[in-house]
Amino acid sequence: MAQIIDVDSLSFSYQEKAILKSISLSIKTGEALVVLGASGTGKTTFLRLLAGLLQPSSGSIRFIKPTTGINTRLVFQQPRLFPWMSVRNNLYFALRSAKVPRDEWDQRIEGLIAEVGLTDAIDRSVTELSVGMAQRIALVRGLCCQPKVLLLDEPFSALDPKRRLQLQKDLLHLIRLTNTTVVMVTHDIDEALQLADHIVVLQDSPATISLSLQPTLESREQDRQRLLEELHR
Amino acid sequence: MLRRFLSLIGAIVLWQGMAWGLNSVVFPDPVTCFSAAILAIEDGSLWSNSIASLTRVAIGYSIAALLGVTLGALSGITSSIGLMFRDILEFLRPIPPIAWVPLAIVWFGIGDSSAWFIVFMGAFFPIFIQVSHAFSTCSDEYLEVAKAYEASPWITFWWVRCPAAAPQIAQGLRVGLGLAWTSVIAAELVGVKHGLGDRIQQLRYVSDYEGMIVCMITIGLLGWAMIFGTNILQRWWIPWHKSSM
Repeated sequence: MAQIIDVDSLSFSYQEKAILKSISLSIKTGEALVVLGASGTGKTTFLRLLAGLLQPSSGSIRFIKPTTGINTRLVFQQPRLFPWMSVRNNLYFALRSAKVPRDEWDQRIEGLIAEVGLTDAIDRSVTELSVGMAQRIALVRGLCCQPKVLLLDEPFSALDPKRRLQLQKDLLHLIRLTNTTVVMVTHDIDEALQLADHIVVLQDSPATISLSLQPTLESREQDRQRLLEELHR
Repeated sequence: MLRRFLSLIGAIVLWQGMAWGLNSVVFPDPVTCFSAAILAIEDGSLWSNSIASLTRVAIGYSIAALLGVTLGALSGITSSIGLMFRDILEFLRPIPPIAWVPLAIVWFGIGDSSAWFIVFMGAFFPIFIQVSHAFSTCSDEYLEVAKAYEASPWITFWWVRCPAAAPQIAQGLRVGLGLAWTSVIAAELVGVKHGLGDRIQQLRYVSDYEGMIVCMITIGLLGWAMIFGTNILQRWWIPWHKSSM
């Protein structure tokens, strides 16, 4: 697989406190990279740096060619839909911001909305949606812009176990369907094993990558043990 | 609804009781006032004076709302402009609108212009301050979404900042409208011809206490109708208020 993002010696400090220290990794096209770590290890900071919401203190994040198109879209921990808009207008907002031509908007969203089973909800106010439905719309909002990389900040953490499983299935289905590269942060080992092609563990303060592995179905239990040990080290 | 109706009946009964107890020409009872109201409606004076007051409020308030929302938004979004305005406004805000009446008469003469100015002074500050606060405290959660989705400044302003600020803008406009209404009556009491305030003053000269109370009740009813109307508008305009995802 071709490389899509090259992260080189990335460090980030906030008010002179180092959060991330010299993170280097490469992300390949179409892979699902999961960044695992305990609370406070800088996972979200890493994601925000990739999203361009923060600027690195040193090091670089380089998007490999093609240089055209949208690099990233971020799905937040909470859906963060705009309550003054309908579902459709929340999705239109993303497309309008991405300068997608108006005549493509409906075509872009209708297929994705159908894939997550929310076609009937498209003209409803987002205030009428459950958290699970809202998070699925947030996923569609990210994907409809057709970003090179979809960034997910613990998108299942606000859900109960049943909805979490459903949304994980929806996510897997959508990223395979759209062949989108995904970077997700989580502190849940099972979630990481279920979704990841590649897992990196952030550890210590300032955080560095302490483990990088590519889980397989056959080695799942061993991988799980290694991740558990690493997180509780 | 029933409780509101019963409290109204209770207030009228209390008023009637006090009028009987005091038995004074300066404290007319509800029945006498009702007869005076019928007369005022029939001769058209209540209608024409109400229209005069409402027109003044409409003009003064519209100017205040337009400037208050525009400058308030600018001040809220641009912190340097906000800081520039803040001290001047905090200095002017506590001056009650009626204190401007003598100067307004000197500057604009006796007439509508003075009343518009007084209404403007009454309504502008609460609108400006509320709008400025609304824009300066726009939720970071929403602004971060706009940034993460690379929304342009214009898209962020129109689709995120404005609707996020709308509940507080509506609150400012509602408070401003209430103050505009009380200000126009104050202005008409001392410096303007025609209108409900001026009518009260004219009736005082002829000791028509029933007529004065009818005007006062009309002022109260129209003020109540304005707030009732703005509440309905607010529910229609910003139905998402107090909900977030």
